[in-house]
Amino acid sequence: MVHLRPRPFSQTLFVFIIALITLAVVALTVVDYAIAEHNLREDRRLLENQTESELINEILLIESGYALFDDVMNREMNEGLLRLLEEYESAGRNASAMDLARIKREVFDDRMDLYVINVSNMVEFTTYPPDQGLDFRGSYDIAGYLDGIRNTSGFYPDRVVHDRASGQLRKYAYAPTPDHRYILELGMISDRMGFRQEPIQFGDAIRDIRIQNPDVDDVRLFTQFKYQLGDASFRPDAELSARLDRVLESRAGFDYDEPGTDRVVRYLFVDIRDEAYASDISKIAELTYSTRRLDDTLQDLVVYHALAAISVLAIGFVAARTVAGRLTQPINGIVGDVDAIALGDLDHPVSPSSVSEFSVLGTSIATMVGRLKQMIDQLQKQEASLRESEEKYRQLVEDAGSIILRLGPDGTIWYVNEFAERYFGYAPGELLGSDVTGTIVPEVDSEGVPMGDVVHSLCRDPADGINHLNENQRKDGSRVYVAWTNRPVVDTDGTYRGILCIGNDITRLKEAEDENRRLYAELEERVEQRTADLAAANRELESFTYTVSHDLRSPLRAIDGYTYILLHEHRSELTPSAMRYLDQISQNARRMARLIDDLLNFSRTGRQALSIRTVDPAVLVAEVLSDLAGERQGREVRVSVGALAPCRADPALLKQVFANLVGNAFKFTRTRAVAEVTIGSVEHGGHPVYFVRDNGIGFDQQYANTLFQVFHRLHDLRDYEGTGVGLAIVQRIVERHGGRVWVESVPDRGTTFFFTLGDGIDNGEGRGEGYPAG
Amino acid sequence: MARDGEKDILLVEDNPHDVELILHVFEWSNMHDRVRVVWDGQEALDALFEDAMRPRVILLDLKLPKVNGFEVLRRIKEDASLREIPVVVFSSSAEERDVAMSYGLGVNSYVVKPVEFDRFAEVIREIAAYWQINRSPDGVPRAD
Repeated sequence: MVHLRPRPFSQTLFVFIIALITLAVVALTVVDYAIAEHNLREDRRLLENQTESELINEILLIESGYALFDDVMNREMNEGLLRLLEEYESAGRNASAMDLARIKREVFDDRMDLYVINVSNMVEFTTYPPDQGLDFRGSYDIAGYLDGIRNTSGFYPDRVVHDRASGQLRKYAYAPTPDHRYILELGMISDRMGFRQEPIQFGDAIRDIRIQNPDVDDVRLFTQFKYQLGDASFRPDAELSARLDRVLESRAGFDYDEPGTDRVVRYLFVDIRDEAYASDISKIAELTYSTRRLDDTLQDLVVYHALAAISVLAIGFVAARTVAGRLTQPINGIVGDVDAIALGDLDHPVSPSSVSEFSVLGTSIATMVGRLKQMIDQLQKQEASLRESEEKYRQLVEDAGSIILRLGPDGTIWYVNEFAERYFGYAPGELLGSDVTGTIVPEVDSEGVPMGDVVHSLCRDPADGINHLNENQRKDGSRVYVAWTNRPVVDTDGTYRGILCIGNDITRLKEAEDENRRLYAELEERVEQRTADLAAANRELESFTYTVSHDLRSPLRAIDGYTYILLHEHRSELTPSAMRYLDQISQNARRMARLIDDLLNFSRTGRQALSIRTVDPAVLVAEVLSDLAGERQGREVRVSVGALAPCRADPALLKQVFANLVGNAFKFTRTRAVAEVTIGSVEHGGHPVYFVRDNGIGFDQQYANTLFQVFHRLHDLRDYEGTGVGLAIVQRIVERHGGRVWVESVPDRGTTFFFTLGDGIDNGEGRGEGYPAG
Repeated sequence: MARDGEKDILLVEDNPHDVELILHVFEWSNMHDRVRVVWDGQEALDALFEDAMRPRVILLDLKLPKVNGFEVLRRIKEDASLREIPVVVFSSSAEERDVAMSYGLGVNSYVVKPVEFDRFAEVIREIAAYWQINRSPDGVPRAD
């Protein structure tokens, strides 16, 4: 595509206007010229016509003059012919016998020439030697004429003509002889005719013509015998002769453009022929027109037009320039204004224009500029506030007690704050432009892991807000630990620009942490060790207790066995006291067995794992009551079981608790006629408190605490059996469930045992408020 | 004293007192001479495998020297010719895990030795009754 350099509008407009003007001027000029030329030619033609008709008129006039003269002459010639006829008669109608010279002299005074024309239309005899033997047969019209009159009688004058030979004017008359053998002719000689005015007449005419029509270079008149009128001696050359012949033959004129000159020769055939006369006195007019005048005029015309055109164009040029300038002025005005605005002068006004479109444009531009100014204003304000915040940011960064780095996407350090520089031991600006790997980030960390790739991939594509811990190095190579927070820096249009890294020195922390970890590991090891030891100890204890219980029971069995055998199979050998002692032995052995069982149980409850489940204590209590049914036989025992809130507990152990407490209740109400035992639970502080109440023997409250200790008994073994381990077991189980057990008793009134599982209600003394006392 | 071939109760027990008491109880039923006593696990295995003893019932204590009760039980139950013989573990241990282990090994019955002799005797009689090893009136052991 061709790129056209933009042209000023005024130039285009100017060119356009000039083109229009040129076109118009040229058209007008050409048209005008054409018209002028046409008119000129028309005028010329008219003039020519006029000239020609004038000429013809003149000729006719002259000829008619001649005609008049003719009439005068006719009489004379008539008479003359009569005389000649007389002579013919007197000569005995013998033409050769006539002495024409004498007749001419004597009769005609030498004023006329005599001719005798025979039947062959030949001049047999004449006084005019040049015409002797002249054969009229050559001139058809004369011959015809003569033939026409031969056989008639009369007098036939002819017109004044120009003599064919001399060109002089002559007048002829004819008279046929009565015997029709000859035609007698008289010819009056012009210079005898007193016809001297002839050339002058024609000359005058010619002169007049020439005066009248300046285009006429020359006028010549010729007779039909090609004699020039006014110049008797003139003989035409071959060319002229040929032309004249053409006219004569055609009896019409033509134009002959003289080659190589600016002349046009017009031949006119002036037909003056009169049938009555023998001679054709028609004339040929030769008008030589010069186109010089026309040409000159035309040339002048051309020049004039050209000049006019040029001057008009020149004016037009200037005018077009002016107009174009004028018209584009508003454009330039606007352009100039807008240009000024574009260069920076936003306050430059847009001048009003008389052209409505430019006016609108101007208004729009003004509006646009206004908005632009607003925007600039806004931007400036934004920039100011941005600068402000940037300043704050910079200060913040500089003053911060943290390491602040700005990295580019390729890992180059773009910015590092003073704190960082000092921390890493670099001089101000030393780090800028360096790669972060190799300077701050070591190539390889102390565990041999290469850091470069990690860092670079992080820089290229960081996840938002990634935190990580790095081993870094100072300028002197020493290793430090820094906790980094990395944030990708993103443009407003979302382009990723780099990372902002903020770091805090955690070298000491790390060391402490490492130490911690080490200690912790050690501790864990120790704990593991201890746990293992403990587990081992436990296992040992387990197996110990197992073995012990097993080993302890066996002798007891033996004791009881032998005692039994003795008591039952050797009764006859025993005294009552021996039997009593044996019985004691047996009982003690059994008691010891029970003790062992209880102790085993007690120890187990401390060790075994709890399998906590949601439990409905009512179910367990029912089982316990069923198990203890034997205790109630033969007694009046009223048991009331109230609502028992469900709880989370180990069912087996919880059953044991209830078994112990209910068993105790049954035991210590043995002395009552009606034993009353109540089992239930109350709500307190969000937890159920279970209780077992009896109306038994009770005990002194001050000893309540000791009740739960192993082997402690408050009652006489003689009255109430029991190993003293039961309540210890209860306490252990309850405490393992995170609860508490306590008791309230009034001697001889009754006892109430309370326990909770989960959060206990502890006020130190085991005495809850608002509980129904036993 | 009956011949070894007529012994149809194998008692595996290391405690002499327990042995004496058990035999005393068997004596009440006149079954004491049908009991072969072995004192440890190894002897038990020898009796069963070496001597090819095929008792009607084996009373097995768990805590035994040399080879313990579980091992003996396992060996018995693994052997095709011995598997059918009812084994009753008679142990002073009431430990859940001992019971579970025993049943896991295929014991036919697990009985805890009571300390009280009256119960002890009762238990033994029950065992005998249960495994139908009562002696017939004419002295010929008969299994019903």
